[in-house]
Order: sequence, then structure tokens, then C-alpha cells
Amino acid sequence: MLILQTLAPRVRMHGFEIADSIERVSGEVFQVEEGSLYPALQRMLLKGWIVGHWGRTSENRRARYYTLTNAGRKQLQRELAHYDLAVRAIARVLNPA
Amino acid sequence: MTFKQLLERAGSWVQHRHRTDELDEEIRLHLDLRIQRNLERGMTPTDARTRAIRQFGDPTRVREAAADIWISRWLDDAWQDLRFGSRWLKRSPGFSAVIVATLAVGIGVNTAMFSVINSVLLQPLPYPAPDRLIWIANSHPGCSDDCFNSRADFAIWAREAPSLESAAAYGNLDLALVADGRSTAERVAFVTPELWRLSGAIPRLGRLPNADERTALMISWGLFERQFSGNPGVVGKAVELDGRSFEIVGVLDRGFRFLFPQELYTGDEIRDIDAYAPLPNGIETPGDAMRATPQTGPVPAWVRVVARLRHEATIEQARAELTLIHDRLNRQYPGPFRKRKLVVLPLVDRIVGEARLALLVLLGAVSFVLVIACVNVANLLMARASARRKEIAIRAALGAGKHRVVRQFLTEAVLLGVLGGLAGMVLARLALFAIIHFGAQAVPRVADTVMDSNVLAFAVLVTLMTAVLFGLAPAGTVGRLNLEEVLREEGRAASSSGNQQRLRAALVSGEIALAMILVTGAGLMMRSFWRMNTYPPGFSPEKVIVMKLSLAGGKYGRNWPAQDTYLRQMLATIGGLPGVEAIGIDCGSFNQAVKVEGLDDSVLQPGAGAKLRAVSPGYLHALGATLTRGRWPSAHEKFDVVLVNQSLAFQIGGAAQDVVGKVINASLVRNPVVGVVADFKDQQLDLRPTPQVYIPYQKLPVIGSVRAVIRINVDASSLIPVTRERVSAIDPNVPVHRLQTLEQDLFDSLAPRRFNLYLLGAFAATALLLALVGIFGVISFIVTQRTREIGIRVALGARRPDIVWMVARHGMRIAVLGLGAGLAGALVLSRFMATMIYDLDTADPTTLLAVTALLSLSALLACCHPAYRATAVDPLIALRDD
Repeated sequence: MLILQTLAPRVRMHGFEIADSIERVSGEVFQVEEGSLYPALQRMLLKGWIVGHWGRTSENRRARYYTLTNAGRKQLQRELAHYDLAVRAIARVLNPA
Repeated sequence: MTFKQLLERAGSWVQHRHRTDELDEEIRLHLDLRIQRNLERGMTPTDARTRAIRQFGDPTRVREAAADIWISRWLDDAWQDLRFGSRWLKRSPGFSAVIVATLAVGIGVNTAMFSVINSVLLQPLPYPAPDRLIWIANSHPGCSDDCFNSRADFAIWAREAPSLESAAAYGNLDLALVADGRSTAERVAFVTPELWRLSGAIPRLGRLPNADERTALMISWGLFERQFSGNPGVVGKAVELDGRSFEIVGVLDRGFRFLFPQELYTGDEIRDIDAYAPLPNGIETPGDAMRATPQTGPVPAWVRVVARLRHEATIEQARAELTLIHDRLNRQYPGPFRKRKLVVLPLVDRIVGEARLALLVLLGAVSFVLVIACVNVANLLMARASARRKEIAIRAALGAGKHRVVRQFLTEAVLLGVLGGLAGMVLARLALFAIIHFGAQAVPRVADTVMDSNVLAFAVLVTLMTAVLFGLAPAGTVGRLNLEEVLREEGRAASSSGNQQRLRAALVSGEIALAMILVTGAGLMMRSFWRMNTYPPGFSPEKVIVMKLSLAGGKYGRNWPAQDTYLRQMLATIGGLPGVEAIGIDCGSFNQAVKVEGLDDSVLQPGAGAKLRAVSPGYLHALGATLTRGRWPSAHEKFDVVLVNQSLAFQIGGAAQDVVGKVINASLVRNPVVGVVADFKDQQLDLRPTPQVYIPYQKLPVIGSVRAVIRINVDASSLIPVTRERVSAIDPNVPVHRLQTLEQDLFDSLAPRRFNLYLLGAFAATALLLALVGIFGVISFIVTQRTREIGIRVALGARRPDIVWMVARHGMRIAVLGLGAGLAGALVLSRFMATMIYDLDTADPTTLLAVTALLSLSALLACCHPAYRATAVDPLIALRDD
């Protein structure tokens, strides 16, 4: 979900950038086990939520850039909605008032 | 695998490689960037790298995990399994070879046997509505085969039985066919026109004969190619059969089979029927038959009858109707051949019936072999898996995952199974070739056996089943592994649980039991076969030539004077040849009820009969028959007396003495007995001698084929060509078939039994070999396991014999258990073989003893090598073991 969200603002990033972004934005709370990123990316590629294109970094190294697809966008909405529901439910449980 | 599938597989493999490369690159970039970042943060290069990797995780595993997402990963795994598996196989070639060979044997013989059963017993006859075809025949009590029917019988049955849709009659003769000046001996079937419709025959060239044509000849495709070089101009050609003109009107399709039971003059062989002539009608009642004048041309006097039931009729109905007709005829025309019984059978039963039991026994035998083979393979692989437990544990600990390991085992097993299956297919082909080649005379319909799709499916199924069965066996042990335990185990070869050991030992005992049953069966057959082949003293069949002549056609048919002249001339000519000691002829046998005058009511027991043998005086001399009572007939009384054999004498009175001088009353003779001869077997080795009466051949009303026996005192091979020449010189139109020694004749008569014996023997030997391999494997494994224990014992002072005794005892314990079970099983099951065994009790103690001894010894032998290996254990090495 976090990956999708990171890619939401119509950007294209490669693997490292995504990991970096999540780390930064989350205020270094999430130290992503960066290895697990790639299987996740592959899974999402398979499901068609993202697409990958090979390009060049600023240092002229080959990198694979991922962008969100429409299907991915929809999936993100779904996951956000679920997350929202879950959070509210937890809040209610913790604060029965 | 189809080409498309192959392409897909290759494509996805390529794709996969591409994918993994890409992932590698991505990951490398990621790491580099992370390292760079770490360096920027001020870490040392080493630290930077270390921390980067720690944060990232093991790159290889990451890549694998990522790639795992893709399905093709599975393919890659499978491919890797395959490569690894085959490497493992190559590393232990002996072991793999044994397994593949065992599988090949099991699958091969089963496929072959199943093919045979399929084409002989299961496939319907290649005629339209085969399940409605029936066989109708007169049979006489005491006949070992059904007798011939008269053409009047056939006409009446066909006319008067309403449940028959159509009936056809046929008879075969061996005649000389003359075409384009060349003369060959062919077997010709004389058929009524209904036979064509009954058999659904389709002419490939020309047409089928019409109902009223008397000289229209149909030939087989084989004859067409052989004698007429495949020239289509053969249609319309004029040929001569036995001196009479015929015209070829058509050629039958190559696939046509004449499977109907042939008239086999005793001791003769089954030949392909190559020409079909019309059986002329005109004999409609027994009255017609009696009034018939000699035909111009060859025609069989006796026929065989097949019929097709009406759609809604049952065979029981037909049987009832025909029996009524039969009884009525018996009453209306009492004559020499009364007391006949009517036989009505489904045709297929008549054709394959005798072979059915033997084939089923063989199928049972071959299933035993398969079971033994599968058990062996499972055992071997289970043992191997135990030995590899350490390897498995290590791999699992390194992260292979139990799932992967199990899958690997399965792949290895499937690989073995596939190899075994392929080898088995090859073996099956070879086995089938041998069976068809040697069995064509022994088993009906076997010549048409092919490996068809059913059999292929069966073989594939068997392969899969065995693969799954023993693939799961080692895989099963993996599941229960406690990795730590196994890794901590000591000893080169990990031990398997006691339960497993006992299971394996029990399985091997089972194998031995099965092998014992088979070997007993084979042993019984062998013993009875050997008994059949023993000749009474004085009987030297290699010094007797047998010759068969046919006097049924041409100017001899039903022409007694001409026949008599010919026979006298022949007897004189051949009898005068140098080297010939005696010559005699046998003009036919008839089963009759026999009365002995003067003895009260002593017709031979009901259900028994005697064979009347119409022979010349020299016949018994030529065969070396010996008198036990009375004397030989003198020249002047030879038409007034008869001889009988010992079996008849015993049947009548018990003491042979009573018979001499008594008058025998059978249909053709009413004469006193002048002597009793000892029983001999001159035709079928596997029949018990029947009671026989030897009458002068001149008493026969009709002569068809003649069997001459010639006793010689020179080498047969020198005399045979001369004989043929001289006989042909008397009259070239009389075909001479079957000119060979009596020894060969008798040998041929045993073809079916010999065939069964070879097959059963082969299966039994295979089963025994496999069972011994089983013992060998299990004991070897035990020795390896107990190496340490043996080392300790030796160190403590045990000597060689003690060690050997220890190993042997274990092996023999397994064997004895198997032998016991096998003995019990053999006693029970051999009863089913009773008809296949001649003159022997199915629980014959000698055979059982011999088999038990053989198996015990073999088991002991199988323990030898492991025992020897055990004694060679160096205690130091054993104790130092790991």
C-alpha cells in the first residue's frame, strides 16, 4: 500500500527512490527491509498495478522506473478505504465512548 | 511434448533469464546507491557496504524471492531438479541401472502379456456381430475334439432352426494348386456362400462368388502376392485344383482372417488358408448323402458349421432347437454314429477356449512379477532415502524448504520411472516379437497381436503408478524429519527406524513368497512336460518317418478301387526302398461305442469310448508296438481279426487275458480279438492313451487322408527326399504334406504346452531373480548400517564365521518366512493350473521339495556378498566412523 501511495502523485521512481521516499516521509520510522521491496514490486507488476520502464539515472546508470497505472490507482483507493475502516474500528475499540 | 509446448517452455525460460538479469541489475543499483548514501553519511567503505547489505537483506535471496513470483520460476526449479536429479543418477550408475532395469522388466513383460491377452481374449472376432456367432458340432463321448458334421446335418440345421439367421459350412483340404504350369500345395477351404456374409469379407479385387457358381475360386491376398506377383490380371484366370478347373473371381482383402477352427488331421499344423472354393449344395438330407455318387473333383465329406443367431435369439434357444432336431435325426437315421452329443458354443469360446486358462495363468504370473519389481524398487529407494537423510537435512537447513526437497525426490523418481518406462517399451516390443514368432502355432489369434493404444495407456499408467508409489516412499520419510536430530546423528549411513526395517524385510519376504509360487508352477509344468517326452523303451521316434497324403480328391475321391490300388502301390514301392524296415498306414480314427460279446453288459463305461484305428498290418510294426498278450494276425486272417491296446483291455475286464478271443462289436467290425498291444503315443504326446481297437483299413467306408509311418534304419535326412520323389512318381496329383520324422511330429504336437512352459518359466525365473535382488539389497543395507556393530564385535573377538552367521541368519529368517507363505500359496493356487499339467498331482512333493531347495539355496547365495563384505570390515575404520 505504501508503495502505491508513494507512486500516487504521478511520479516515476526506481526501487531505491521508492525505498528512500518511504523512509524519509515516514520520518525514518519505517526502515524498510529493502529487500522485500522487490518481490512486492514484482507482484504488483504481475497484477498490473504498476508498470516498469527502463531508463537512465542522473549518473547515467540503467534503472527501472515504476509508475502507477489506473488499475493501481483504483487498488490504492481500495486499500486506503480498508485502512481507514480498520483505523476507525481500532479507535472505537480503544476509546469506547 | 508438442513443439508448441516446447517453444513455450523455451520462451518462458529465456524470459526468465532475462527477468533475473534485470532484477540483478536493479538490485545492484539499489545497493550501490545505498552504499553511496552510507559513504555520504561518513561510514568507512567496508562499513558502508556491510550496513547496506544488512539493511537490504541477502541479495540472492531477494532476487530469488522476487523471481519466485513468476510462474516460470517453477519451470526453472523443475529443470534444476531434473539436472540435479540426473546428476545424482549418474553419480550412482549401478543403483540407477538396477532400478531402471527392474522397472523395465516389470513394465515390459506386463505390456507384452497384456497385449497378447487383449488381442486373443478381449478383442472381438473381426467379423460383423461377433457376439452372435456360434459354433455347432456333433461330438462323441470319448472325443477329445468335436467330430465332423455331415453336410446333411448342416443343411437340416440351417433349414429348420428358427433362431439361426444364417448358417455356413466349410471344410478344408490340402490340395495341389496348378497355375501357369507351377504346382504348389495349398490349404483350400470349401465354403458355402453364406460364409462370405457371415465373415463380412470384402473382395479387394474382383468379386465374391455367387451362390450358384461351382467353379469360382477366391484367393487370399497372401497367395495373390506370393504366386501371382500381385498382378491384377489374376481375376478371371483359370487354375487347376487337384485336376479340376476353377476360375479365380476375386482376391480377398489383406486384412481378412479365416479364424474359424480348421479341420486338423491329427498331428497336423495350422496353416493359412489361401484359397476358397465353393461347397456345392445338393446334399440336403441323410438320404442324399447315402445316395451320393463320387463327385468329380475334391470336396470334403465332412464339414464344420458356424452360424449367426437372429438378433433377438439367445444361444440357449438355439441349443434347445438344435438338440431337438439332433435327437430326431438320431431316431430317424440310426446308424454307425449314434450316441453323439450336440455342442453349441459361442464361436469365440471354441476358438480361444482352450488357450484361455493358460493365458490367464500367465497374466497372473506376470502380475506377480510386476508386484515384485515395484516392491524392489520401492525398497531400494527407501533404503537410499534413509542413507541420504543427512544430505536432506543439510539442504533443508540451508533453506531449501521441505517442499522443495520432496519435489526433488519426486522428480528423481519420475525420471527413473520415465527411463524405466521407455526401456520397458523396448523390452515389450522384443518380447512381443518373440511371443508372436514362437506362439503362432500354439495360441490362436496371437499372430495379430499389436501394441495398440490401450496397451500403451496401460503401460503409461503402470509407469505413473510405480513412479508415484516409490516416489512418495522416500519423500514420506522427509516429512517426519527433525532436522537437528538428523544432523547430530553419527555414522556415515544414517539408521532408519526399526519399523521401517521390519517393513522392508516383510516386503522382501512377500516377494519371495510370490517368486516361490511362480517357480512352483513352472516346476510343475516342467516336470509334466518332461514326463510327456519320455518314450517307452523300444520306441525311437527319430527312426520313424511320417508322411501324410490326401486321397480325398481328384480321381480318388470316394473311389475305393482307385484308392486301394494307389495304396498298395505306395506301400510296395516305399516298403521296398533300402533302409526301410517296415511301413504301415493309418487311414483314420473314429470314436465309437464298443461292445464285447460274451462279457455281461460290459460296454465301456458310459462317457468313455474307444477309438477305432483303421490301419494296415505294418502300422503297428513300424511304430515298434509290442504285444502283451495273444499274437499278431497271420496273413490269411488279417481281415477277420482285430487287435486292441492295453487301455481297452483294462477298461473291459481288468485282466487283459479276458479280451483275447472275445468278439468286439463296433459299428465297422464284428470280429474277435487276437492280441493286445502295449499303449503307445504316436500322435499327441499330451493325451493319455485312449482305449483303441486296430482294424484293417479296408473296413473303412471312405478314406480321405492317409498317414504313413515308415520305420527306417538309416538317417532320416537321406531317405526323406527319396521317399518324396518315389511317391510323387506314382501319381504327381496326390499332394504329399508333412514328410518328417515322428520325433518332429511329436515335438510339434506339444507346441502349445511348450510355449506356455517357456513363458511361465521365463516369468518365474524373472521373479526369482528380482526377489533375490531384493534380498541382496536389504541384507547389504543392513550390513552397511550395522558396520559399527560389526566392528565392535570383531574388536571384541568375533571371528569370521560368527559374522557370516549373523548376516546369513538375518537373511535366512526373511527367506524362510517367504518360503512358508509361498508354499501355502503354491498349494492353493496350483490347483488352478491342474489342466495345464499332465499326469501330475498339483501338490507333487518332489517338485515342491526341489523348488524349496532351489529358493533356499539362492537366498543363501544372495546373502553371500553382503556377508563377505561384513567380514571385511576393519574394526578400526568402523569404530572410527564419523
